[in-house]
Amino acid sequence: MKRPRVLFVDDDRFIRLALEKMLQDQVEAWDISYAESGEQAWSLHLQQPFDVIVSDVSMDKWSGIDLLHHVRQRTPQTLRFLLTSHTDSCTRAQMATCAHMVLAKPLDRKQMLQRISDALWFADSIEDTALRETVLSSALLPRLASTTDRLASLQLGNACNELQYLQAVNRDVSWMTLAFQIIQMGTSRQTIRDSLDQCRVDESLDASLFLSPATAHLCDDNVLSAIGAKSVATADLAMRIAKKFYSTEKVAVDAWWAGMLHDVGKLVLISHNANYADYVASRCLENNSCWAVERSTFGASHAELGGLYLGLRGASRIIREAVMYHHEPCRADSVDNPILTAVHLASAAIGQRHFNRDWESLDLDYLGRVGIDREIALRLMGVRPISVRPGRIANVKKSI
Amino acid sequence: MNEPCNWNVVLDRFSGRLDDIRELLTVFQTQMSQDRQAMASALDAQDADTVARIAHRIKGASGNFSADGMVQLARMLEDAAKQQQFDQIPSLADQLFCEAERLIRHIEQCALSSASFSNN
Repeated sequence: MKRPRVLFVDDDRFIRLALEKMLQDQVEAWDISYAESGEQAWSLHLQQPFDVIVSDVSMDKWSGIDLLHHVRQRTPQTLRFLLTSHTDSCTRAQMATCAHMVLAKPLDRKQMLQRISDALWFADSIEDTALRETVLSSALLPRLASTTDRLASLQLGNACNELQYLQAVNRDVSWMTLAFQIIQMGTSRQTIRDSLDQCRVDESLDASLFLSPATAHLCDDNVLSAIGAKSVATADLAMRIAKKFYSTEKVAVDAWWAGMLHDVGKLVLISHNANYADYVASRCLENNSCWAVERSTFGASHAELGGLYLGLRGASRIIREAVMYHHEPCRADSVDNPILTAVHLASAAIGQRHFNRDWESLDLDYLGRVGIDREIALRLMGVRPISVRPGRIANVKKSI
Repeated sequence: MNEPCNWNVVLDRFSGRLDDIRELLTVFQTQMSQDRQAMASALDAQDADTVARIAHRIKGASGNFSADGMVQLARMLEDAAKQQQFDQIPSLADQLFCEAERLIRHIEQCALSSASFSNN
């Protein structure tokens, strides 16, 4: 099997040497090169493109951000990482437009190797070359024009509260995905408002980073609105289910994010194929399982693509898995992923409510494995009132 | 006084290869000596941008030795330089280079101890 070509870029001789020493055991698995500047890295990449580029941010002349923007345009399939100790919001938002992931300095060797290996695996999982390019290249997915207008109406620097930001963007999966990616790039947990604020700061700096001509014409507000509305409903219900069943704030917040982003793969497919939106609409009316048809048409379902898209951008395993298997949770590796369970139930409930899908979309085998029978599932989904005492659900969980 | 670095983390980062750590330490020492001279010139010229750039570089380099105290001092110096706080910069720079010397001595000793431990 061909060894992936991996390039590390840092203008500090000591850091390059430290990387070389750290990666000595990896040379059999990867074909590793080093560059001392963005310009040298670009020149090497033009001679023979790399599969992975890991670059420092602050360098003379070309910054790591400049380099990765060039690489994204020239070879979108290249996996792009930034190494940084920067924590200022503006830089992080800029990084999100060109890099798949950010690795914090000082480097944790095991974490770095894991992240790069995972990303290579995610990218290899998408067999169709053009589709893989779409997943890897998207700086910002198709978004609602109305969201941009709403964001523009919020004055930069004003004391807008989180609710105002959420109201401006919360039906737009594309903006929410970017906010999520920025959170992943942070070293500390941020509020949603912080993340959205950064998105706006960046837009004011250079709107062209966000408005890719290739996707601008594909934004059908009706379809994007429908995906956004369904995602908001799924996120809210997934969070309520997680709170009821698992009772921890962390699980509830992760369930909300996974619910919000569970259909991000549909935006990837819209970027990839302009006819996808019509196709989805017709399939929903026919009450078909979109994901099965997607797999036969594109080689992967929107759920699988969404999981890979988020995995490539640093999402945790439980969120990635919840998105990837929200229609077919029994395919997940985890025996019991509470986020997956919540999103599966919420997605099935919203599908039934909005698209009149039947309850066959519930994976009762999986739910049985995690201690949820059909009756409890319907109650958690809000289809039937919960008549059981709160302790009963906790007991069910304990008995798993 | 706290130890200037976490030696176990350094060993793990470089897979326990003492020769590699010694080689890195030599390069680190040379760069610190150059940085010290460049810092002195920058302080004379009240060149805050250069001070911030050197402090940023030292922050990144010392992080590879898990030298938390030195990383913290470099960060404070970088921030002070970015805010042009010239009343604080010289003292922070002195503390940073003193901590660098302490770190170098500590790593040399740890490497010696680890070598004699593995020989025994």
